[in-house]
Amino acid sequence: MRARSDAEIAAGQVLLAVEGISLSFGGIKALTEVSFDIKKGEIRAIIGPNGAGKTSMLNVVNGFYKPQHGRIMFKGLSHAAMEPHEAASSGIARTFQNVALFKSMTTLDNIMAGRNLKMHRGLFWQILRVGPAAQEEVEHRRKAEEIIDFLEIPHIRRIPVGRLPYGLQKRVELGRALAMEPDLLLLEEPMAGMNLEEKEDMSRFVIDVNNHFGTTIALIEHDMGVVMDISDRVVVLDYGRKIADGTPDDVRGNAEVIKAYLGVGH
Amino acid sequence: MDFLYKFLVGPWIEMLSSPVFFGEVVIGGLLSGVMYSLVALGFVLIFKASGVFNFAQGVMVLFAALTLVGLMEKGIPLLVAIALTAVVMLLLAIVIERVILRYMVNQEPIILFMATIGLTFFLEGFGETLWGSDVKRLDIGIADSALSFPGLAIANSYVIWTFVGAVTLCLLLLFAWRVHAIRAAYALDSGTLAGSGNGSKTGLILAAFGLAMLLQRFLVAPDATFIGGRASRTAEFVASLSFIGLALLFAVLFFYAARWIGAWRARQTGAVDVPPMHYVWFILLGLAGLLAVSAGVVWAVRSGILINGFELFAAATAATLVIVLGVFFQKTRIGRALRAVADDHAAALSVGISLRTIWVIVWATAGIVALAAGIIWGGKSGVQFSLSLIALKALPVLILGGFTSVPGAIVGGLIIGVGEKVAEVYWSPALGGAIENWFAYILALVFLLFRPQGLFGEKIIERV
Repeated sequence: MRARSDAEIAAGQVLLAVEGISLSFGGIKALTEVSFDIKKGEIRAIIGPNGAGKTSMLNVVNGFYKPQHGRIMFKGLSHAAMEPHEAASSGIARTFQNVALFKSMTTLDNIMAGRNLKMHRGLFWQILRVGPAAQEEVEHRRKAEEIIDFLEIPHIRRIPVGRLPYGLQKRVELGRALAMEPDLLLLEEPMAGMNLEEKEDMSRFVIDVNNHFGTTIALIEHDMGVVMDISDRVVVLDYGRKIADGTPDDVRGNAEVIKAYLGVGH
Repeated sequence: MDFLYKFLVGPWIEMLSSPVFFGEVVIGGLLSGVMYSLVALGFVLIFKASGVFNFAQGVMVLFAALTLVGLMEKGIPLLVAIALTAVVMLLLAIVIERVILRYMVNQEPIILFMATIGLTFFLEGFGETLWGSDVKRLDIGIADSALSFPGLAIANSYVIWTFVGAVTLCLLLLFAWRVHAIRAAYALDSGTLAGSGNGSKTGLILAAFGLAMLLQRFLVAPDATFIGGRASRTAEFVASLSFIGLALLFAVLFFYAARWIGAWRARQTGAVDVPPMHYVWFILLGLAGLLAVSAGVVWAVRSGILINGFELFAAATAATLVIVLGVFFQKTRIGRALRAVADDHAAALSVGISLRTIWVIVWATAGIVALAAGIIWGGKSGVQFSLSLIALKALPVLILGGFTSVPGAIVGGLIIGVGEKVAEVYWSPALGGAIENWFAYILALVFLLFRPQGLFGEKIIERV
């Protein structure tokens, strides 16, 4: 299943690197000295038991959380922390564990919302919706339609997403992230709560996105089968620390990882 | 027994016995209802875009009116003063975002609500410190009295048929527009270009029919006079047919022109969807609607119904605001971003929507709406502290219409306006007057019991 060989990945260019990230809320340490990198074009999984700090890590990359220590390098630029707006405009898109869609809006509007940063017409034209603004809508609508076709959801185009079943909502959320044409796509538990068939569909879409658009993907996922199948490299967190980092095969055999997941034998 | 008669029977008999007076009461109610809608609109905007009930909306109306009057007292002409006040409201929005909202991202709605209460007290004091607290008059040059058209030398029949023709034109335009929208949607779903395909047969028949109706005016009654003199029955009938014919012709013509423009634009941009004809439609519909309304007003005034010119102006302002806001919210990037922010802060941030910009835009828009309401209410009843209390009247309007619906705010305002006036005039003998003061609240209470989401609000379904 894996798209690239180990040698290809080792030679790849680093897209994002987090260096010594520490994050705490009051006295609780969510992340301690975590460093890893994500290379251009790879599918990178972040795994770990519940409460390991996976979501916190994504929130740091995405700019929702500001780490107390450490730096984030994205596309060669070093930041102490990102603003969400800044992260989005520099090419980071994400989905959420518990589907954060605009529930009262249609599928199409949700995906068009993902085009927000690509549209530039000013408030004046927007209010009247004439001339350049209307033309711009049409152009971006075409891109949105491509994504809808790609995700095989044309039949739900005009349905408010709040009424869709969970599996489709997840797909629309992926569509919204894709509409941003991101360089780095963060997927937070894209298969959570899905049945086998939906999981297979979603895995296929993730791999297709990676292959067709060349989008670099970082995902958090609990389903080990899926993770080992589709990802190029895996980083393992436990209690806010990195305990392993490598190819799926490396990680699978790692004693620390087995301990973290299964506990210590008595 | 007497009470029951006065309550259940009397009012209806009165309504039926003088329909013209009843018409006047209803029109008066509709027009004052529009003024409630105008205030409610400001609430809806902020609630829709940020999920916050903005307690300060009423005070923003007062603040805008105070600023406007203050500027006019300095000798600045009305239009310039309005523009300056709009700028002040924009600055206010920026300050509110800087000082309050910035620190409230992802907070509970109730906390934001409390912040707007604080804002209310501040603005009230600040406005009166700047401009003084005495009652001021705001003169916007439109008399608050019944309209009359004494010098208009057009025969009544002419006015009536203009009205009928324009209304027909409006309906046909709406119909054609709808058909086009549906066709475009279908074409999109099947992946083909809209603008191709048939439909021309119907158009041809309609056009021929319209032409025939138009021509018969010259064939059957070429010498019928409409202007100045009295028109015969036959002439009126013929005139009506020719107007409808003209309307049909125009509608068909516009429909094909718009479709052609749509297809041409699609070829130019290579787009799949063909919607870009809104402004053609909007301008045409607006013109036809304007014609219909003005002819209707002239007709109504001529036939003896009293219409208040000032309230008519208020209605026109509100209608314009609603149309512009509706298109803005539903069809544009920024409108979409506003709705996105209302639904989910985190998700909106993740697609790169800047909460700060959006909040400034929302509050500035609400400020402009407050300015419009301030001009109209201030012009009607003077600029004074009690202006901020009209926010209380907006509350039942919102409960009726639903907090999230722009059309709801309008319909809610109209229902309350008409209900109030009708109840006051016809049920006073039974209930003893001053019904206007409590009617809206009782109606709102009934709605809360039976339809808490309002007429147009989104039904809240909690999954458990």
